[in-house]
Amino acid sequence: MIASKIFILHVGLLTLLLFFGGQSISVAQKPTPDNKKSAKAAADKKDSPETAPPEEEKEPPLPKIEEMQIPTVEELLKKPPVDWIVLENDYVLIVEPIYPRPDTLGQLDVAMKESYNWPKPKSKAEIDEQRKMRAAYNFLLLTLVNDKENPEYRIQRKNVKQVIHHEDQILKRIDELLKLNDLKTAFELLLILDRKHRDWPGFDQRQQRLLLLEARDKQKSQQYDNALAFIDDLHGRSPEYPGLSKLAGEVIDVIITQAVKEGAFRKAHFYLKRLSTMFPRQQTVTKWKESLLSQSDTILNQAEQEAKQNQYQQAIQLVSQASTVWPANPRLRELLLRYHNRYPVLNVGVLETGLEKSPFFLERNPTRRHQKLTQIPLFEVGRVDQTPQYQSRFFELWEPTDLGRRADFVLRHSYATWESHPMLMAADITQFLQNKITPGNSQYDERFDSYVRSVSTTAPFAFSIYFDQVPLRTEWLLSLPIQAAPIWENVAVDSESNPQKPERFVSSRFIVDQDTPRQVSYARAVPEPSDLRDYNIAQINEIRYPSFEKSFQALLLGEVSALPFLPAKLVSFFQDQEEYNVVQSEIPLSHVLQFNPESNPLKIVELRRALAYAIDRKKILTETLLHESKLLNGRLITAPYYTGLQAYNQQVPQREYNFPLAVALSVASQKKLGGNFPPLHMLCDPNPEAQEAAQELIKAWARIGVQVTLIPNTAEEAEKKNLKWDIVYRTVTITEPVMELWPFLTVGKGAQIESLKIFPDWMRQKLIELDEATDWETATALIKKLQQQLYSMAHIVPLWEIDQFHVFRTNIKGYADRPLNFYDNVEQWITTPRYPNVESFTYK
Amino acid sequence: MAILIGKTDIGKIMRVFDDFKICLAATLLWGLVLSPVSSAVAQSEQTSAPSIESRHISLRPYRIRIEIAYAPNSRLNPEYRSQLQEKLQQVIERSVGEKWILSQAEQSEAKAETAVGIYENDWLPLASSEGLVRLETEDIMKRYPQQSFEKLFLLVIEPNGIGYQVSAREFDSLSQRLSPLEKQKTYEKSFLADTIFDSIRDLFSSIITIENVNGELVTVSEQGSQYLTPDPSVSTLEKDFYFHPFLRYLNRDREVKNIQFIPWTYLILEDINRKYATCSISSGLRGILSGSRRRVETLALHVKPRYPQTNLSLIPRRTSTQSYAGMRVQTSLLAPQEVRQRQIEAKKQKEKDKTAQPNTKSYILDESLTNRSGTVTLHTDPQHPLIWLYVRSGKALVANVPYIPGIAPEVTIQIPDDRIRLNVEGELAVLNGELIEAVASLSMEMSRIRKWAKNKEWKKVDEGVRKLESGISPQQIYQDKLSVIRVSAIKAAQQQNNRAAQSRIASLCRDTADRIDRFLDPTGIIDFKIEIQDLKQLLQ
Repeated sequence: MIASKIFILHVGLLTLLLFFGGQSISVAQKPTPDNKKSAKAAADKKDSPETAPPEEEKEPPLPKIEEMQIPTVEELLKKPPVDWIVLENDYVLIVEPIYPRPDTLGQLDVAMKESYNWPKPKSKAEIDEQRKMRAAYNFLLLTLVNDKENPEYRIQRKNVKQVIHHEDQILKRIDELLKLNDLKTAFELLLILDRKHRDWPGFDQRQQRLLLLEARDKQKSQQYDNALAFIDDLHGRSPEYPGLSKLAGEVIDVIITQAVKEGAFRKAHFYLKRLSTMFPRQQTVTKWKESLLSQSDTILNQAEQEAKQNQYQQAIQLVSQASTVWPANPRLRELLLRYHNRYPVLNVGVLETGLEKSPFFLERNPTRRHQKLTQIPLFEVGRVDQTPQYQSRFFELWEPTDLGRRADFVLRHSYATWESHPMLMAADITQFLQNKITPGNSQYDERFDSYVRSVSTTAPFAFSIYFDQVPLRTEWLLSLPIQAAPIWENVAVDSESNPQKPERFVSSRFIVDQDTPRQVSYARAVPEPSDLRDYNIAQINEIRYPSFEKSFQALLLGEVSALPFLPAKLVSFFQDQEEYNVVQSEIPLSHVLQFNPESNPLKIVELRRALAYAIDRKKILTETLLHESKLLNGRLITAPYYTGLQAYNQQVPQREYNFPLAVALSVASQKKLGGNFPPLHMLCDPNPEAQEAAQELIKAWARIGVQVTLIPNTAEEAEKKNLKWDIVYRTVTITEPVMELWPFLTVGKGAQIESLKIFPDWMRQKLIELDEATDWETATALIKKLQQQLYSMAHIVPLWEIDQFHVFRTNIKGYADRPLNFYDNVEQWITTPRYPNVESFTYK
Repeated sequence: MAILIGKTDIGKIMRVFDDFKICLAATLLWGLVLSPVSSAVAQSEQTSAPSIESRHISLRPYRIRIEIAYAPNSRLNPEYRSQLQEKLQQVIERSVGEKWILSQAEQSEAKAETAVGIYENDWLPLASSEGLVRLETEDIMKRYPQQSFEKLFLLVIEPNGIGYQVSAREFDSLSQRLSPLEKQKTYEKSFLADTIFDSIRDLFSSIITIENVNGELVTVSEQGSQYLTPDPSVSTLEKDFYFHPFLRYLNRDREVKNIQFIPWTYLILEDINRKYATCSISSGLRGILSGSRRRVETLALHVKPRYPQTNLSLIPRRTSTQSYAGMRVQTSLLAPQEVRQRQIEAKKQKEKDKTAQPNTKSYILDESLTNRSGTVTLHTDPQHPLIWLYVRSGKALVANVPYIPGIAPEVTIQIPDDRIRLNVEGELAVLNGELIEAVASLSMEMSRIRKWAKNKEWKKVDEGVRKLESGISPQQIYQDKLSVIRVSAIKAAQQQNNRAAQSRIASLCRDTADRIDRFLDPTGIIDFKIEIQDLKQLLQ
């Protein structure tokens, strides 16, 4: 490429030489007008200075090279480019850019040398031609910048000492600017030079110097990441650039010092790795490796001390802390294995913990998870096969008697070692239940009171409940945790001796051990005894991540071992991985829209129906949520509960998307509202799938002229009193709709009679009738009818149900095949330690 | 057992409400049976008639008997007790004068056991306020089968810290009703007589006889009203006193056969002169006091709120199993006639001014739902003792009666079974929703065809019109749906023999049928077709 370029230049040059060759070869033949031929005079001066006409002497002499000023940035940018021809006598001719360039003289010399290798001419014409061409290499063609009339000249090569091109002048100016530390202008000039002539000799040196200076400048202004970017760039161009290694060491040293100070060891590792990749033998690398190893060793020594005192929780915490400080510590593997086996800890990646404040005041997945992890109800749903099947961890047996008006319960006397709840005695239950039926008590429950007349303890581990009204299902009525401190503990333990102890109830499963903005730690309410061979999970850390992507990354990096939330679209990815197990939940998550009964616009049935008809549920489900998934992990629904339940009315037809009808209904409701819609506010479950779908719903409603804004899920909104909302997007998992529909419909106000005030009388009476039903046939018929009416009246807009998936690393064992809740059976989970993958550590 | 009022009386009280009179009257009659008074009725049959009093009631002073029981630890010796009784008699004579007869001399023939005067009580099983609370009317009747007094005050003096607590109850022999317990305290022994008198004064409830009924106004006469009391604050009628009327049924021998309090009926004292007074009637029944009855005395007992609240329980009528949890109970100061009057006026005003719809609920003081036991709490309001209760089930008013909260701790009202009608209301709400959709859908289809016509897309127009015509008539579909709802509901109401529900269901369905005919009239499609044809001719 370069050769062809030179060849073209040669051809061009020769053509010019031929053009002027007829006149003179040795000197410039053009007339010498007195006002501008200083150049010619200068050129000829060397050959015959004595012949110069007297008037020419009056002309200002040519400048010497020493006198030449490097053009300023402005001159370089605004004035036409000029080259300087430095003659043998150090005079300088200022000419228009000459070619070939760069290194014009060198190129002419090379061309001259090459000319002797030309093929032997075969004719006289060829001889002449070659001679002419060769002669042309002895001349430089130039155009004087100040000669307007006849500026073009040629000058003998031997008279020219040096050609300083315009680009060289730019480089000189850059050098000056770099000296003055005007890096910005220097960079601009470099850019211009690069644009004018790529790969100009000296460009790379200036650029590298500029990068180094930039890095230093950023270092001075404490912009270490930026400095590092320049260092990286320079390292890529010239790894051995003088001073680069030192500078990189200095910058990264500061960053690591700061990171270690903040406890951000992962960040420190990242930068250390970055430095060691660039300069493996750098002093800073060695220094920090030793420092971190030493710190890690110190922590491990502390861990050993704790372990000696049987403080395994502290020991494992210290080991994990040491693994954070320096995962490459060779002692780590052995200690981690030893203490983890004694005190297994599970890290779970979550998007929200159950203790976070959110404007979404209703139950959501994190709160459900928290509730299931911290409490054990007397009866809990074990599995769902059209109807929920209950099980109990506390009762040995229970028996309804007196035609169902009394139930006798016998409690278990002893528990397995893996069970994490305190000893439950009959008095604990009866006292708690007594409070629930005592009006005025803070634990009074109107609904419970309507069923239960009295409770009595018949033995330390036996009690009876007398019913006023026989409940449809006693197990459901007692599917509540006993939130009271163990009575025997009050007697046996001096409560004042340990005032800092977290609150523990008789039905506690795990208790919150630590609550920080980054994570919530749960520990067993009752630890396992110390003389066991194998231990089950002792502690669960729910680590919070700002997005699913981050939690996903953490799972891949081994920072967490399980994710309770897995979008349906990613199920196939994890199913294909051998390192992970994907578990599907027993029942899907139902997504439902509900309207605020106190919202005046939404009291208009036409508007509710318009909102329902405006949503293309099928499209949103398949395109937005399932991403055309072929797994069929979602279904459209007409009720806020699982479609596989016996109580679900399959006969209720789906409401088809009907845009024209939605428009017509919205127009009708608009008239009722006096001509315009007030802006509506929507509260949405923080679940990522719900949030994504909510955006689609808002777009759909905007198309029919209803403007809905989503209330952001922030702590500031959570702090607001009297939060105004019109629509709520909920996700629910209802297993017993006959009993749970009422509290669901009252939007967080529970199953109180007063909470039904918002409904029309006929619906209120239907709900009460359902609550008072004493046989399944009546109850099922009633709920099926109610489902149809609620759906038709658009009191609620059931959207879809999506199967829930959880993902576990294979080092966890013991979880259910089809869990109802993520933490089902968590007391029996077994986890083996997973040594952190040091090589995969990256900075988050 | 149940109906003790004669058939003619029933005929008179059966005019209750426009649309609910039979049910409510029957409810109330049943309520009479269930009221606590009925238990006293059986006892009353044992009582013999007192000697016929020739004097007008306003000239007959109250015969008063006061019995004071002393708690065993009351620290009052017999001498002091005797002094106390004497002092009390002096206080009463000084304050009430001739209106109350307390002196034995005027009742010389009466037996000492039942004579008027002030006595020490020695028969109360428990001489304490608790013992008084447990006392029943039957106990009094058993103790005093022959009563020579109109009022019996039973008092108990118990020590209370450094002072004394005086508990008292009044027994009215004419109505055979025992009043609620009244408690007062004194820290000075010498004030005991005054404290006792204060209790008696507060407990005393006047008796009036109904002399004449003229529409909504009743002329009454108080017992002993012609005797003015030295202290005008004692035993003197005042404006806005409330009386609860009751009927005393006598046999041929003028013996009391039965005593019947008229439920949900109160007399409000409007005007007083010495012999007669005028009262207005506030009643859930109509004409209950008008007309003369043989051997029936119509009297009324002064009532005032003595409890902070009353629990009103809604109970089913006959064998209904309906739950009355979650029923809407509204309270108002206005009688239904006044409410209706206001609604008519508001409607007229609206037609006149074309202003926004008037707030029909403005007359409602409070609205609450009954709890799971079908009970609602009515709080006493000293400013407005008498309120009207509106018990609603959906759009239907199932009970509408006046009441004075606080006159009793608990009260029950029978409510007819309204489930079938309420179900129909729900079904019609759904049907109306669907109807709106159908109308909106039809109008959208028509506007789309109009648009095509304006764009001269006649092929689409013809197809659209054909589609409109060929589809099943929406009017027919909705009428059929309505028929299913109506027939099944009426059948269910017939099985319950619930005529009121039948007529209400028919009325509800009629309204919906009219709406279907109005909005889905097939002539609309014919008119639309003509409109399109005209448009086609015009544009071609």
